[in-house]
Amino acid sequence: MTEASEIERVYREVGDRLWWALLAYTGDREMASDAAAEAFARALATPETIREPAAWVWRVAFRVATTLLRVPKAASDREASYEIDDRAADVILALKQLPPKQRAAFVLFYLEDRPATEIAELLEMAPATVSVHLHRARRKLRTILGDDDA
Amino acid sequence: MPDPSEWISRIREVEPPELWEEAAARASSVSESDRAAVPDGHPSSQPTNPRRAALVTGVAAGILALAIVVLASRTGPAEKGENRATPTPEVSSLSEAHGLLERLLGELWTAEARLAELQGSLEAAHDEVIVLQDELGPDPTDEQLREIEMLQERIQAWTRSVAEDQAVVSELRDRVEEARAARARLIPPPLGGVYPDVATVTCGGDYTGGTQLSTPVVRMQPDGVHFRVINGISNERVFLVIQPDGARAIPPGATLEVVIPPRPSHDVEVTCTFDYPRDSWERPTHPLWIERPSTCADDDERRNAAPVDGTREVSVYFSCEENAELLGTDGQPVYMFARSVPAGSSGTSDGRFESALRAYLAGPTPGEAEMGYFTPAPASLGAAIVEVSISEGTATVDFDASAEGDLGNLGTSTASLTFLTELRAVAFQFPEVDSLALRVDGDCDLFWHMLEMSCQTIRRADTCPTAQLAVSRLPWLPLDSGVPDPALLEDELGPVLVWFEDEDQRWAGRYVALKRSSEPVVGQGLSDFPTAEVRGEIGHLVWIGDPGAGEVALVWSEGVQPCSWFSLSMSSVGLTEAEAERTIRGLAAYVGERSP
Repeated sequence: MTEASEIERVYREVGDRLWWALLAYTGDREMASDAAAEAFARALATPETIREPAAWVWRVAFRVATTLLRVPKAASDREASYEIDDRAADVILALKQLPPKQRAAFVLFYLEDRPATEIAELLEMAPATVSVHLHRARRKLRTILGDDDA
Repeated sequence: MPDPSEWISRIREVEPPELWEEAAARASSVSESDRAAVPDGHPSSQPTNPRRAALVTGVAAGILALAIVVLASRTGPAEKGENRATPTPEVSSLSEAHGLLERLLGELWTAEARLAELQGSLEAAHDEVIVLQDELGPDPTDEQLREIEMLQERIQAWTRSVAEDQAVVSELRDRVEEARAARARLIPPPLGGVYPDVATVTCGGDYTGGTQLSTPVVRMQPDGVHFRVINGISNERVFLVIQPDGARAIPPGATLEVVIPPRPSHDVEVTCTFDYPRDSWERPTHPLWIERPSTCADDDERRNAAPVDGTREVSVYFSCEENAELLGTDGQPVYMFARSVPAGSSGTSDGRFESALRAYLAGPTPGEAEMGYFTPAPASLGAAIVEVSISEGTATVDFDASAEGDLGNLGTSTASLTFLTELRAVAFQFPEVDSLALRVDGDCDLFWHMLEMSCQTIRRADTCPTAQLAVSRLPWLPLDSGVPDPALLEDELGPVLVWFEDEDQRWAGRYVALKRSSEPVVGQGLSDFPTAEVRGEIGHLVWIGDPGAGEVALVWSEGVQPCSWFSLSMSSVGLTEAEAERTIRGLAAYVGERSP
């Protein structure tokens, strides 16, 4: 049975990586923070029901982020979201041109280095579908970035 | 595109916030009842801050909406129409057939991708319905029920789409097989050396956009099919996938030689890809035709066995079944074999020629015949020789009337021309022979009547006029571009091979652009190209064209001895400008070396 201390250990271990992945996925640091905090909050609220806390947190965080992406934000929030480093901002802007599932698959594969089977489980899709999303994401990013973005 | 992993890692340059206290604060606001309602892996419905209020109604709806947004267009009429297989056109050339097969494989690949995506998402939607039904309390809201109902309707529509997509995939598979069969019918007979021995694949990305197969036809070597794989990406590993053999990883920026075992099948499909999931729906889209190994390849050791004591070596010349397309034409190659004849009988010019003639008319050995070498000359002709003499450069062969008894198929034009080609080679291997007279019972007409021709004397060519092979760089023209614009004759688009056709070395208006799938294109007004001389008889360029999309093949005949002729063939692979030009320059140098 998982305890709260285990959830905190998971947070210390994967919290930053999760936040970066969520930032890449949502393109919004506030949304990324919200989704990550929400996921850990829910894990802390019911630790005894969680068998694999790390996987659980990742799954819930991405679900929450997906939902938040669909909630309209105020214009002021949106502007504030881009106060980040230029290089990272370029990445985020490019990623935002991908459909959500492609973006999620791409982020988890290349930022998190997760195999397609894990991504499939996390995003609740068939492994073959992950491959499709990865392929299309790469193709679209290639078009967006061209060859001059080193 | 840069290396995706490296590129996306810039995200890590952003400092992440400390969120643990925020998470703990939110957790403390969750009530005991909420905890009981939270299933493993699914978010609670209790808000812990203002934004969570949106999540309460948003989580399930968001998940549903995401799936619906992703897939809703699947059921739209435009998308359906787009997913239909396009009509299969008739093809009349190998290039067209190859292009069609490549296109259909691409369409099949896309259709399978769409089907896989739809099936995967449909599975997820099924799961969502189950989850939502589990989450329903004793008093479900109208919104919850509406969402489930909407999702179920979508699932029904997607299920129909899956069936339709499966039908499209099935239809495309049939068309691929039809196109493959059509292409097989258009593959020309293998001409010695026309097809490259190594297939060249350049990986600049993955699948249809990133794979360049420069040699759609390759000749199998004794140990298997050879691939030269170039990973044009300096910072990313790619896989060369060869169906049905598997995949080989190619390190970043590397060039590898890959050999797959010999196979009875004559077709494989290849592609480059960044990742190689073995259970993937993905399949290669670039067809590669594998031609069988040549049975008419040069083998000096076999043909030129050293004569033993008391014998003298002469040469005989036969044709090869592989070159059926060229039999009876000016460009028909003949293959030389050594024969040892008794030295006593071949001490004089007459004797050597007669020995060679009799050895030739005896035909190929059983071993040579098994490899595909043959002659249309009936063996009985040797027994009909009455006299062979050489006088003042003219060799005269007189047969008796029995020569007319068993002519085999010499009466056909192809067989008779093939016979004369071989006979020329046998006679003119002797420098003292400049012409050849053939008789039956001393009568020229009787002999030539057997071949349904009029009396004539076969002469060695008096001169060896020089054709010109010019290597230059000209616009890489599209097929329908017609005459090139002189303003475009810049060093920017690629090499072409220019062939001067007439004796005055004037531009005769013919060149071939080394462009994939190109056909000869007529141009004019070209001049001032660096040239390399080619020895040969004008008009002996017998074939120039594209045997299979991506390569230009040249076959022409030239003197194997001064003013005689032989067959030279090569293929030039227009992989890149530099490589194509290097190949052509190599050809020019080779021809120059062989020139007397």
